[in-house]
Amino acid sequence: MLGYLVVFLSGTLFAVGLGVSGMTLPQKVIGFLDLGGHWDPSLAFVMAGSAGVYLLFYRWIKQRSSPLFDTEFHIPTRHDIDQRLLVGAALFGVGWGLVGLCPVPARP
Amino acid sequence: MEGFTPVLSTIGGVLIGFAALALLYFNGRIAGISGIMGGVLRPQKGDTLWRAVFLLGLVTGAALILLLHPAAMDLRFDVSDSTIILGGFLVGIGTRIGTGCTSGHGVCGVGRLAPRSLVASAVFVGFAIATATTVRHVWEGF
Repeated sequence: MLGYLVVFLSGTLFAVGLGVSGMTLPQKVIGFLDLGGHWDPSLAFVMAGSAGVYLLFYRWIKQRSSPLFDTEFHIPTRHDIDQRLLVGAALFGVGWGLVGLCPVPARP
Repeated sequence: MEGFTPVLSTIGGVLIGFAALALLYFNGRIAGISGIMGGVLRPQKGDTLWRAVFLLGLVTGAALILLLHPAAMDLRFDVSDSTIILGGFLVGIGTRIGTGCTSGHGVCGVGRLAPRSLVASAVFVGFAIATATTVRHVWEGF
């Protein structure tokens, strides 16, 4: 039960982080992706901040034999770069560049 | 929120990172939104409830932002409705085929230096920049 509370709070914090970062706004995302207008580098700071702390603490967390509320870590193990990965990422990129919304802010 | 916001965007990014770290530390899960959503749409026994709870948390967070700082939810689109639908379709199908989006590949995958995620992130950011710039300056009226 406590596990689900953490999942819920993680989702809430994730959305609040998006709101604080400005990435709920397609106009700010497009401000980064569109190099021809008034370029807004904010999105790069969001990526650096989020991936940066993840990088910092990931190894430390993985040193544990298991997460606190589960018996094992559920982490993707594939390492091959296949065609589907490239085509999927390209299609996602085109859609993201058209509108300025990725799956996260689009849900709520 | 208009213009360059380096401090707020970094703070927001760090919050997103800690949210994803919490999900890993406590639940052993990757905070990839498209994947979490995909798992709810195609439910598998014992693997659905946590996803639904996470999405409920996201919606709650969005409601909090709307309540406390509505300017952050003042979504404005500079493209037509049909382009938004096309874009949404491409985002949906692309993240399914490519097994991830900005959160799963971009934050968690890059954050653990996973080769597939590093490549996918470079590809989707590259295509997004090319597309956003092209439809707004070269191929206008999209």
